[in-house]
Amino acid sequence: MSGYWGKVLRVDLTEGKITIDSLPEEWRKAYIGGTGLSAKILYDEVPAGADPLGPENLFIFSVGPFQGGSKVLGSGRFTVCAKSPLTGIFGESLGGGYNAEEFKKAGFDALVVKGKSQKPVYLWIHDGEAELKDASHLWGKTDTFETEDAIKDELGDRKVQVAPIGPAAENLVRYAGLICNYGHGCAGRTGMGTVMGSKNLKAIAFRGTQTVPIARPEELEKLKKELLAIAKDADFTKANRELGQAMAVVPREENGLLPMKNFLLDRWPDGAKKLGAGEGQDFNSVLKPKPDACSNCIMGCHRRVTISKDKYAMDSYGPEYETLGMIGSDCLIDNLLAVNKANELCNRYSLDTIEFGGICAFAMEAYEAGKITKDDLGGIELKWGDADAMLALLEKIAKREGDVPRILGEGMRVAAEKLGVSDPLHVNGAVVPAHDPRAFLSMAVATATSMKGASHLHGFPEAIELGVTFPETGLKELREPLDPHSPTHKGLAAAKFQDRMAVCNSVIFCFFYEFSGLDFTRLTGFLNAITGWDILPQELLKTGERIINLMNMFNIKHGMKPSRDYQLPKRFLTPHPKGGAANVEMPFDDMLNEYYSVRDWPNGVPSQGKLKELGLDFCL
Amino acid sequence: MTVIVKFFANVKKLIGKDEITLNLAPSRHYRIRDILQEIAEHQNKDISPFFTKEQGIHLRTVRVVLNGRIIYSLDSLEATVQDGDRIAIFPLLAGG
Ligand code: SF4
Repeated sequence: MSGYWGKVLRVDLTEGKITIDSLPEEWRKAYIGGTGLSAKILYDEVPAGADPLGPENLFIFSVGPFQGGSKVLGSGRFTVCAKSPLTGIFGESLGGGYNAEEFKKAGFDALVVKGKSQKPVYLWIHDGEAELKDASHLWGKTDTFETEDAIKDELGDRKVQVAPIGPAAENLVRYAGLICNYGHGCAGRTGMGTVMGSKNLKAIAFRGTQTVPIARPEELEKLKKELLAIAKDADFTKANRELGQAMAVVPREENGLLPMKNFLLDRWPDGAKKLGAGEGQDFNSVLKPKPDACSNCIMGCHRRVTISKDKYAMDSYGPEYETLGMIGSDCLIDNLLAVNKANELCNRYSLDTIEFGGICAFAMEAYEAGKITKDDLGGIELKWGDADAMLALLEKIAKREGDVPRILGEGMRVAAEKLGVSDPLHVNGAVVPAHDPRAFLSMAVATATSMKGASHLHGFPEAIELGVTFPETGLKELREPLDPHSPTHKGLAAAKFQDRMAVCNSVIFCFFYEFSGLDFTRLTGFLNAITGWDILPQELLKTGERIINLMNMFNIKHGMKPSRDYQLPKRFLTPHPKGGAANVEMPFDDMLNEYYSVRDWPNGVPSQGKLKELGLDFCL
Repeated sequence: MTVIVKFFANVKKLIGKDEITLNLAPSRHYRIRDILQEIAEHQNKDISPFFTKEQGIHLRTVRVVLNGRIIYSLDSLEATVQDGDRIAIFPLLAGG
């Protein structure tokens, strides 16, 4: 067997039992690994109606065939999946840093945790073995950075990598993530850290020294050389290394993608300059960041930042585009040092920055409308643009102090219901991230039909509106770039790019490399060289389709009604009068219908024929 | 020979057009580099945010797509352009 160990580590926290399952070949071929494999396990094993924070829910940490041996560019990423406590449907988050490689090298393809431990524990996985260790001395006391330090010290090896949770996850804030490698590898979305918190699982620690076998090493080396030659000279690689993702703030302010004032405003050029990286912008001069890369990456878009002797002093990683957009511009906060500090605090507490930023903007709008008062917030005057008010709210939400901050910690859907706010900007409970769907119409369909609630990374059809075409689909419509402001073929693009992203998150690689030469044909070549398979890009795309269909069936099993739930908040159906996406009409229903027809999902539900065609008969 | 160049998003705004058709001398060998030079010289607009002319033309913040493929995976700026080819120019920035 190549590219895999064929081993799934199973941990039952209620019983304190650890076992190892095999990973059969038909599952490897049908679901690959990462998100795909997790979808299969979650569909099979989490009973309908299971409480996401109850012992029946599973928590899955997994990697794919690209990890642990191939060193393909962009392969330093892992996925975590569970039924989400934020959305009640499929939960998924991806993280970078160093954990993906370390976990795979420890001898497993996936870790599946069930039950609930009586007392706080952490799981220590090393070279084919695993043990549960007491974490009572850490629970309630350490943030994610301190947890990582304490575990490394305790195990006496600084090379150990750790995936910890912080206080927000222990306190069951519904959007807490795993914050690894001191903020370098964050898997923030959909409350996967909260699921760990509900299981009394404080951290997972990894150390591995084994390299997974590669089926056709010479072929792999040749493909890697080709990709390296393209990727290292690609302008996107250079820009991403030099400026990091903060480079996107100003251009996206101009093209209308950046959220401003809870998506109400259409221009904010001066503020964007204070947050962005590039000529005449403040990010690099104020934060003096240094590029840092996940394992197996030459781009290094992450930013190491140290700010000393300042009210907002910190020493960690700087904010990326999504954080600058959600905590910065969406709240009209142009104080970069404060946004940078908020990013560090979210990481220490293990709060998702996208979700927190969206909730903060939501609360600022509710405060302005008088639906929340200063008294409700323990004295915080939550006005637009007030950086210190934002930081104070962050503390209260993470620590669950006060009734309204506690409600805000339940996520936007619950908060809107309890506070009487109409049209909250979430899809199925997850806030709409810093990609205003009015600017790139494909994103309107992809955001509404994301299987994990609003996400910019559940499919990224925006890519084809930025020049990344998809000829491997065999569809002439996707051979040429599409106009971002035209609805033509957007349902089609959303479906196919979701399938593509499902593959990306299952083999696993960082999708930034799609902008630097890693196209789908090359990706299939890597997979074949690693595993020894001989599949075609079209077959791999079917696998992606299978995974998305299975995720949808998971959602339906857990109470989702697609025709009601795969929708966009109404605010996005009215175009901005000004800005880069001024007056762009969005025929949302037409695009959605095209999407359903491409998918063969009448009213959003996979047809029997489709399920059979994809080998998902067990869902019937 | 004829080449169609389409502009997207911020590039479109700057050039002020959706697309242009370039009628080029059939005898000459054109590369992407030459096409960009043509655009820089003939569009009569300040397009310095997207192209600069140090040592011929230098790509700064755009992504160029030739017949549906990003030029990185072809010969980049040296890729040959032929009669009937379609070129698309986007702002470089993307990602999440
Ligand atoms: S491009 Fe950025 S996110 Fe992707 S692997 Fe490299 S450092 Fe990690």
